Amino acid sequence: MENWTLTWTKLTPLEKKSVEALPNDLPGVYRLSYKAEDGNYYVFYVGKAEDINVRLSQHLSPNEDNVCIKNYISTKSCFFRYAKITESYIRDAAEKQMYKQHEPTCNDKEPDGRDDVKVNLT
Amino acid sequence: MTLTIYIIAKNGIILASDSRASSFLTSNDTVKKIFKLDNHNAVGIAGDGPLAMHFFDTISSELIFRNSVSALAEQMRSLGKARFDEFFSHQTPKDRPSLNITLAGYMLNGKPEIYTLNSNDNFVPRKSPTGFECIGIPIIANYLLNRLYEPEITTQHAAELAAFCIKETSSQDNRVGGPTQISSFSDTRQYAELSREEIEKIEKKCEQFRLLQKGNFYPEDVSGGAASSQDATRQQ
Repeated sequence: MENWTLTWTKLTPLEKKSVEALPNDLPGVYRLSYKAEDGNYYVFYVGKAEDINVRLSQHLSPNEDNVCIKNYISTKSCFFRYAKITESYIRDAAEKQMYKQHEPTCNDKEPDGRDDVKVNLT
Repeated sequence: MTLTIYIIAKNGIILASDSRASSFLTSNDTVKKIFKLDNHNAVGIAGDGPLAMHFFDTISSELIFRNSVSALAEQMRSLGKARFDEFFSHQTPKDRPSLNITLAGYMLNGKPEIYTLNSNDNFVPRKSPTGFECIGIPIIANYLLNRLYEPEITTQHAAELAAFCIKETSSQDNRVGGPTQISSFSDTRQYAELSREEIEKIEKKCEQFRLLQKGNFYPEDVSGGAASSQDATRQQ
């Protein structure tokens, strides 16, 4: 079993300005959440990217092809947080682990990833 | 063990089952558990599979199908009790192997009905009051069907619901598993088994269903988090 420590960022509004402020060429995993009426922030999508800046910009673009994400972004106050991960197999494992924890509404299927690699999700 | 599910939809009846036969040490994922009796009647089994297959081989030629499914249930009760008394005359009823049968078909007025018959209970037919029936390991499937079934469901979606119930059960109980088998018929449409490709398509769709909004129990920690992220580090 491999254990890896991730540094998760604070919850940040998912908007053009904050996404553009991210470093370029930032590989890692991320979660999208929305602020619910009960005041809590619930995760609706988890993902991984070789460049989180580019990937989050795609989610905000009118061309986003995941209708579920598009609906959340257009109707709710949405937020993201991410963790930098250079190694791709750690990204895969982290994405799978996040998926299992949250079973997010907007992810179509369980991601592939190793089960013998563990990361912290908070 | 087994999970066999029957669902009455508004345009037909769906039968589905797993294909696992398990014993204390071994399992086999190739067992057929749903069978055509004629074009508009079918049975599903749970319990001693080889016994069930021989049982139906011996009684099927004696069944008369021109009447309603309730008449067929009564024939199966009578033949079942006689065969079991003959097969297991050396054993007291409580020591005999158990065989659960679900029978589905149509009444003469075109109304679909499902019956369950259990060898431990002299095969006395019990009519399903709910529009669905599960035998084998039914607890999770019964819960899901109680929550999700409506009589207005179509056969297409009933097949998806049945497959979902089997997959959910197999995720929690390894006595249920292997490829799912699904068949369908109605009073006007003949019994037909879905192809492997059709079932795989249904199972793929099931993966997208969310039984629970699990994430609702794991909201984000608003107070935590850093301003920026350092690369992942491996713990020694």
